[in-house]
Amino acid sequence: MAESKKTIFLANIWKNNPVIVQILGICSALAVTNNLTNTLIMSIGLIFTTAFSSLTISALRRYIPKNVRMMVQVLIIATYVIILDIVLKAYLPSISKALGPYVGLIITNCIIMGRAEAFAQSHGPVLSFIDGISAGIGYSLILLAVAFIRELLGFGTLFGLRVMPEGFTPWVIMIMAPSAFFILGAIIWIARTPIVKKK
Amino acid sequence: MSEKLYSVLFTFILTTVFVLCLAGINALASGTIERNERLEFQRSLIYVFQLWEGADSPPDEEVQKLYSSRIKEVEGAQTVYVVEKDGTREFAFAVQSAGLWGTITALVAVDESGSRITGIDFVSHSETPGLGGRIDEESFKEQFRGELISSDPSARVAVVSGQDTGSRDDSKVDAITGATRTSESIQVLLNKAVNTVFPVVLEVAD
Repeated sequence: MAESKKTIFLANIWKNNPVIVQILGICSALAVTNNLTNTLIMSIGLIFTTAFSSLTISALRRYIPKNVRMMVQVLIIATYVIILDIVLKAYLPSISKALGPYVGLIITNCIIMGRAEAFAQSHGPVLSFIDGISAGIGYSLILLAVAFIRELLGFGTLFGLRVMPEGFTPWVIMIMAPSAFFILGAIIWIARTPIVKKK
Repeated sequence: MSEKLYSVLFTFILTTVFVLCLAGINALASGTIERNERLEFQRSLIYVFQLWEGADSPPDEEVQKLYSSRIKEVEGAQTVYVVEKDGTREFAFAVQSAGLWGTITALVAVDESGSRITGIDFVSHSETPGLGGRIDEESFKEQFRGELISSDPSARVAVVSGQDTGSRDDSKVDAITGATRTSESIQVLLNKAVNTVFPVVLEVAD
C-alpha cells in the first residue's frame, strides 16, 4: 500500500485538514464553539463517530450494493451518533443538555460522509479507522482554536475558569455565531498561506 | 440473485441489525437517563422552595431525601408540588411559554395566597448562551424571591432595565442587558403563571 498509516494521519491533521483545507463541518464549527467544554465533548463525539463509521463502512465495503451505498453510510453514521447521544444523556447529562440538538446534528456533518466516500469505501478497515480518527482530530484542533478565542473574549474564561482580570468587558459578538465566521476565516487565511505558497 | 433484490435484502438486514443494537443500548441506558432527569427536576424543586441551605447544589442523596420528606406531589389538571413552611403552604408548578428560539419551561413557586413569587427556576430553554441563556444564573433567578405580584395582569412582575429599586415590593426585577426579547418572554411567562395556571393550581391543591 502506497500510503502509510503515518502519512494518512498527518495529512488529515494538516495538509488535508477537513476544516481549513476542505472547508467541511462548518455549521457545527459555528454553533458549538462559544465555550471550550462543549467544544471538547463535541470533538470527542465526532472523533468517535468518524472513526467507527469509517471502520464499519470499510469492513462492509465489499458487500454494500453500489446503488444504495449512500443510504447505508448514513444508516451506519446515524447508529453511532444515536449511541453517542444515549451515552451522553446517561452519563454526562449536563453536557448533553448544553449541546442540545447539536449531538444529533453530527449525523449531517459532512466530514464523516466525506471520509466514508473518499476513503473508507476504497481502503481496508484499519487504515480507514486511522483515517477517521485523524480527520476527527484535524477538525477538533481547529474547533478548539476557535473556541479558545471565543470563550476567552466572550466570557473572559477558559473551560469555565476566569482568566481575564475582573474589570474585563466581555465581547458580546464573540458569543454569537457570526464571530465564528470571522475567526474561522482568519484561521483559514493564516493556515493556508504557507500551503498555497508551497504550491 | 438479481442486483435489485440483493440491495433490498442487504438494506433490510443491515437496518434490522442496527436497530436491534440501538434498542439494546437504549434499554440498558434508559433507567439511568430517567433517573438523571428525575433528579434534575427534583433538584430544581428544592431550589425554588429553598429547601437546601448549603452554598453549592445539594448532592444526589440529599436531593432524594429532601424531596421525599418535604415535598408533596398532587396530581390533577396541573401537577402541583406543595411544601409546608411555618404553617403556610407554598405551591410550585411548571409553566411553559415561548422564548426567543424555543419554548422556555420554568418551575414557579408562589405562596398560598398568591401574593408573592417565592422562587423560579428554568428547567429547559434554548436561549442564546451568554445572553438570554443568563436566565440560568443565580443573580437573575434570586431577584424573584419574595417579589410582590402586582395587580396588573400584563405585568405581574415586570422584567425591565434599570427600574428595579431592589425592593421586594415594587414588582420589578432587572432585565438582562442584551437579551431584551428573552427578558420580555420571562415577563409573559410569569403573567401566564399567575393569570391562568395559578387558579388551576389552587383548585388542584384544595
